[in-house]
Amino acid sequence: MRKLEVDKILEKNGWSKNKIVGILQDIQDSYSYLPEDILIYISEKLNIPLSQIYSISTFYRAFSLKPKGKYRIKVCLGTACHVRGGYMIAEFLKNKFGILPGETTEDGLFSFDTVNCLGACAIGPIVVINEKYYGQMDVRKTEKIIKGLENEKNKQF
Amino acid sequence: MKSVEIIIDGIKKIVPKRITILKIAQDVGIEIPTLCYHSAIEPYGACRLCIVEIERNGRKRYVTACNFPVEDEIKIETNNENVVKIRKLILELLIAKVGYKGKVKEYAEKYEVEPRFGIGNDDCILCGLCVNVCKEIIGVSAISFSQRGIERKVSSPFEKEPTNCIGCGACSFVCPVDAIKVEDIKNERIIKKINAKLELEKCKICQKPFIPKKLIEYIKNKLGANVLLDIFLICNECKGKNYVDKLLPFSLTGGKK
Amino acid sequence: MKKINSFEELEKLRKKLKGIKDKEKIIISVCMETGCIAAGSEEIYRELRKEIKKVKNKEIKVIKTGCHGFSEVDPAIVIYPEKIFYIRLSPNDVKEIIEKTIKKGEIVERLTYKDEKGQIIPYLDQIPFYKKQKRLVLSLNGLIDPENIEDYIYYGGYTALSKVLSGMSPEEVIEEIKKSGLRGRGGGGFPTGKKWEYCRKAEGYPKYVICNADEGDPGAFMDRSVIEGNPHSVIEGMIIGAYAIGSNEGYVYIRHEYPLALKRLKIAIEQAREYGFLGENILGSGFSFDIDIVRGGGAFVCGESTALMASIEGKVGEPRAKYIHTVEKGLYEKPTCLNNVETWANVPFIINNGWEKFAEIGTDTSKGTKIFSLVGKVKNTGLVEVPMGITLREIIFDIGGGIKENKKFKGVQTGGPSGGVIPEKYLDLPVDFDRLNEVGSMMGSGGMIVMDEDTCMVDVARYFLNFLKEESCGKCVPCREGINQMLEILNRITQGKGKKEDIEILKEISDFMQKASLCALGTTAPNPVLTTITYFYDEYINHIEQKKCSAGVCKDLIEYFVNTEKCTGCTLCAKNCPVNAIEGERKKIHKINKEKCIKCGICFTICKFNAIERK
Repeated sequence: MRKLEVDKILEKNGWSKNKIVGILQDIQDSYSYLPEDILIYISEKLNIPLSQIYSISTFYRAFSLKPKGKYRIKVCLGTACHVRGGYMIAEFLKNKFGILPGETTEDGLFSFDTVNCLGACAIGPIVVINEKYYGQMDVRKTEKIIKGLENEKNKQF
Repeated sequence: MKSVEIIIDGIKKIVPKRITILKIAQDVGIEIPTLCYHSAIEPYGACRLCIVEIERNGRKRYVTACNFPVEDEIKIETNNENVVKIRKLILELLIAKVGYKGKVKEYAEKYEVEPRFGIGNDDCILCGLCVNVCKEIIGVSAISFSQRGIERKVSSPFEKEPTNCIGCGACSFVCPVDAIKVEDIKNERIIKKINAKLELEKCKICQKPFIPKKLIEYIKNKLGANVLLDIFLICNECKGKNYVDKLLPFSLTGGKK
Repeated sequence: MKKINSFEELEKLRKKLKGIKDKEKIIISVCMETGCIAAGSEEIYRELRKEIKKVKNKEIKVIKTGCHGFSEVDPAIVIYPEKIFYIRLSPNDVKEIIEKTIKKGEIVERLTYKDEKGQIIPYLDQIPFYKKQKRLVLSLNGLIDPENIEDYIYYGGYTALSKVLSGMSPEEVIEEIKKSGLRGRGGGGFPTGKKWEYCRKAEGYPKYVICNADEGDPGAFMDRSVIEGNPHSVIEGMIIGAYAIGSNEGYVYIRHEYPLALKRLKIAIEQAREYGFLGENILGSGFSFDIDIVRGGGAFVCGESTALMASIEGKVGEPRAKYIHTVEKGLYEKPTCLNNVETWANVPFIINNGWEKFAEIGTDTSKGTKIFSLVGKVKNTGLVEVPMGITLREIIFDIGGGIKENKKFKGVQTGGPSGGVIPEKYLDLPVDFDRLNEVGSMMGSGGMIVMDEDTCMVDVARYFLNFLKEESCGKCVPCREGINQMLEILNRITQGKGKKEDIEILKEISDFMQKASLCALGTTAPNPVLTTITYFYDEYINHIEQKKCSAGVCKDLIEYFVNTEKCTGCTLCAKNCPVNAIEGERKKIHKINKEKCIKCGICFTICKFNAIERK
């Protein structure tokens, strides 16, 4: 039952209203997005207006109201990555998947986000796929990795 | 030292410490334009239209009159060339967003703004009055800002019907650009901007639906008892006609004739 | 571990650790922070552990540490005590290192750093990258295991705290910091001691101390490195600060984009609590203080103090007016002292060595050292700590080794989106808070992004405004709408649709935003635009009048095509085009399909016959 899991998260954060951002982080970590029913549940449990939770959920980039794909690709657009051509990787993925940053492919396999600096600038441009960092990337290397992931999926079926 | 001497547009005045410039201006009859300010609501400082120039120890800076607390001897210019230039650009940017609407139109005409960035067609200038009145005065928080930056907007949670909206219409009342319209259609109150739809209660006298049921519930909870509750069950028109001879006995009988 | 209850017990522990650690004759330190791990240092570490076990010598120890700073050559290891530095390692190299260096004391030449002339430089300290550095804050990075508090204690950790709690009054601590001349490393450079003093004198209780670890400037990772490499230096600084201002509650607000830093900070705080440096009655002094971690939500604006505090309170990160300062009314409307990671990490050094030692480094107005992340088109990318007053030229050319591929230097961007681009003519500018301000940029948190002839300055301005468009909270009109309008204009210019009067309008909006915006994000947002207009005016004119981007960056102004005389039909470009925009059979002239082409330039760089040209 989801409520139990959510209660655990609320317990961990001391059922504290002030910790709402942290609570939402934990929910995001557990579900890879913020499910609406859970947000309503938290609003009732902690007596925080739903509007405030919605406001926070859409303000911070860490949160998503939609489920993310199996492979979550983040392209760093920090300055160091930008001057080394990181934006081209983002451009390429837009074309490749036909989606905008923040969206997920229809088959649910890939979601793609841009981030404003991951702080690993020395090895930029950086691409992160499910928490694994890839340094010194370019369009070609990105394409290869994506192809690999697509093949992996085909193997499974 | 609880008070301090300041000069506002050449007028010397002794004022209590931490009073805002806007209040001083109002006291001496100087008009400062505002969009996001309302006397009943905590100053928000978002529209920046009330910006004024202050000089302290020979250093000039620009502050918003609505929330700047006077601490020491300063010289305030509320309407000089620099200030007007800033206000004009604020209005120009707002016209680019919403076009000529409500108070924006009024001020744009007053300041003779010539728009260079186009004339927009959004409905809302994001002053925050609706959000803040709902939170601070009504105590409901049915709506909030969502998103951020240029994507920022006023909305109900998930852009769905807000379950806690009581349909009081305060948001509409305070809006400087008339972005929030409240419509009573048959037995429903519809506030489209925030996706609200509320069932209306009929007037006890003329039977016309006029007040959201949720609003009555809300007042009941706030007051905690049925004291004079019936006053809220009679529409304004009927109140005008019947207040003295009908309402009073009506209430005293607890709603039964 | 039992809680340490007194100053004497702390010294006893240190002695005990000395007894143990002095037996470790050889230490192999593997740098393991976000950047190094991405470069593959975890595999090296695992391999080293495996192989060292076989050697069966207790005098040899492998530890994982924070970064040595020279990110360009990751993954790398340092072998102490000689500080032999092996770079760009692969797991296959480990066996040779053990056989030759560890067992026989020989240098494996192929794994060492080589200078421009090919000269072998096996020792860390002799590498040009390190020569002009002065490492105070980073002195223990690369030497201690950040997940082991005893390493920090062994190297003198928490002596400053002990000194403060055992014999200094809060006023004396504040005086010491004031005299040292330490200024906030987060951007503005406000004198730290003064801030502490204001906060101590402010009425109200509780008082809070906050560590701003929401390092948001793109291209900056100093604070991440300090936390990942030596988190206790920050914690120790915070405890001392808390004692000085009279606070018992502290927060670290850390970016959620830094998972490893978060993990190490958590471990460090737990250990500090366990050993009695945090909690009730610290070291038996009667002073109590504890720290809570708050994760940021991914919003650049939360680096602004009032937005950060709103975020800790569980609200949207919207700044508010600071007419009443946060030292007086900050978190929960109570007196609050906020400093960033690097500032806090400087405190133990000042207390341990005295303000004079700190103040003798630097310039008249900026004392001590500053950490910069040196990135972009520079040869030696990495983290450098230098004395204030060093010139940009020394940082970029002596430490950084100059421009990649020996291209031409164009500018260096400091201060993130609040800063500006500094051109070649100011390369001899001594770096300190005030001098950088004078040329229209700012110190910021310490990102230093080097740009070469292939960087388009109009694009850089557009890049930062685009960044800010996404990061502005949207509360006040000048910032929200001003950025939007400026960005529209810059987009037009980069598309070749700019008009000459656009430059004047950009300046007008800039001036307006500086005066009218609510918070520093808005008031400083025009800086990248203004500095590029001032120093690279010709580039703007080139885009507007000639419709040309000489750096070849602005896509709408460039085109790739095949030189039919040079193309040999080798198909290399077609194979590598990520969008299959190049058509042509083997041994026949190829053609670029303009509709499909995304102008990524891969064909341009990959063609062996220079047959792809850019116009």
